[in-house]
Amino acid sequence: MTLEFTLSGARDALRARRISSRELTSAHLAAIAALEPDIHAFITVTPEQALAQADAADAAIGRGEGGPLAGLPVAIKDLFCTKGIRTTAASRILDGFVPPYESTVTANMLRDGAVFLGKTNLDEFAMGSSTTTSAFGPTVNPWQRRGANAALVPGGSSGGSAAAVAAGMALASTGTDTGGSIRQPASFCGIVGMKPTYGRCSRWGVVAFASSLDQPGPFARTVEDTAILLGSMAGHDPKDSTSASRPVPDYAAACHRGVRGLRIGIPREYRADGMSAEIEALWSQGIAWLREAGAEIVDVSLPHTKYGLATYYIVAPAEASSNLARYDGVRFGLRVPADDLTDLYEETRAAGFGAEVRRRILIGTYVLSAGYYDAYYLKAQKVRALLLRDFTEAFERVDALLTPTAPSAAFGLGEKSDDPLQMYLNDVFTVPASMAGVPGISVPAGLDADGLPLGLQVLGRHFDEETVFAVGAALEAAAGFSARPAIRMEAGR
Amino acid sequence: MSYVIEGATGPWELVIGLEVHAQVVSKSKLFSGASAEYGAEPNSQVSFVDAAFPGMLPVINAECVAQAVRTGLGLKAELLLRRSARRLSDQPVRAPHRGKGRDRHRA
Repeated sequence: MTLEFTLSGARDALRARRISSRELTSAHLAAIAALEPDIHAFITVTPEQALAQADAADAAIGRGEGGPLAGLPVAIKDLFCTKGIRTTAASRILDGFVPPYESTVTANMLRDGAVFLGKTNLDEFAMGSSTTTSAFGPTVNPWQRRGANAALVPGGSSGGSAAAVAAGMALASTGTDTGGSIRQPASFCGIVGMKPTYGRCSRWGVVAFASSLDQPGPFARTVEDTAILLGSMAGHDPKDSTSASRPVPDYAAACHRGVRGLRIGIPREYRADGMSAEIEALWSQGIAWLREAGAEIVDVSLPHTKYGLATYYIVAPAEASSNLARYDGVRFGLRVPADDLTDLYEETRAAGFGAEVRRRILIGTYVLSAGYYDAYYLKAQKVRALLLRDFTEAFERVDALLTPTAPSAAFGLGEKSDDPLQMYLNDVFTVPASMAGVPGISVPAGLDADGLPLGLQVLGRHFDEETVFAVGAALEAAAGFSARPAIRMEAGR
Repeated sequence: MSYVIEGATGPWELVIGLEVHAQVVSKSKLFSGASAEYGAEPNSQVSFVDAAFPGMLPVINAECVAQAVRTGLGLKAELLLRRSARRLSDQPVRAPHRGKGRDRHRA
């Protein structure tokens, strides 16, 4: 039964000595061994390191010590640099790169006693919404349509982290969210994913995609579990100048606050043209649940929502083109030998970057270049300020916002891959909050007609993760989501 | 006060700007903790930030900023801090410099 544990349940069982971390970790490593051929959630599995960390945690717990995550097996998105463990960003260009440093977020988790099972798959450099652009092959969603076994995508870019938690290969995992890369895969995989406020978690040691948007966050199977993990991940870091110098509250306690008296805004612009009836019905259900739990529902307007995606797809590639200039074959990662320096740069980059990364470098270089900078990048920055103002004004009237997480359930592997614009539309409900830097959570709330999970998104004020967790936990309690994916580790399998 | 000369197509106002570069005095580099001391062995004062390793972030040297601000205040100047997004010729993607003047966006 070990794989049915929640993070909090496993923590309590470890403290009560009903189970050891070695048993818990071994069970998860066995689940990984059994399910990886079907799901491919991991790029690198680190069993020896995991068992050593488990033994150390068992010893610490035995001495009455051990931090908040002591002995809990979790998975790490392969965008976080891990000391001595290969880190790939799912790109060939980082071939052979073993970081000599540990990212601040993973260092915080190790300080608290976590056990790392391995590094999870993602879209190359976190650029994508399906985990299909990975140089290591796609991750398959553990969920399948009822009566069908066609492979579905887990969402992205943190698809490996979401699939691993959904299938029972890890109790929880880390992701990063730039335009929806935690919330959308959480929705597709029927689990909880939380993007904190920009600046809540340090970006130091996280391979950069778009620096003004990137933000690490947790995945788990319950809201409280994401709150526990965020409490460990978050905190001020002098090595990241955008990290916030403010104390980390007790997020897990906030999950039990309830929503009585809270004002929940329903942004009318999110009723996009062509929203499916199922998504619309789920959203209405979520509104009803919160009203029944004592919240006041308020109609609000975020008038610049329709510009969110277009603005994001200027700002994010612009920053990516700058961040990815460093991959030149000289100091680390892949090098394609050539006769002169220019050829070395060009041949290394041509061999090392996949099609989607190249597309975004091209877009970003274009919008930053002379003659186009004012028309695209500068204008996008101005629209971004308006997107932020939308949220600021809405949060003067309400405590949180409720929206769908994604416009659909998980789609088939291979669908949308030849049409980047269709792929980009996946992020329509998640991108505005990313542009504004506000926190958001996706909570599994129901199933579509094919039996696939659908998530609802709660957004909150800057650094008010506590209200986001409170509303998320209320939705979770009302939804009573108990469906499980087709591919998962059964007790005793 | 302005200085105007008559040209063939009309009057031209002469405007002269000075771009002054000054070296700040600091023990470490502007964006990393690596030593800025002259005369050391090659590659002995390179941090992971300087080498642009994945995930590394620059942290601006507060003492350098303080010197720039003091200089500006001493000159009774208006202070503007701007981030440079210029691409340099030794970077792999050779895009045109953005902006109208080549140093317009320098911090």
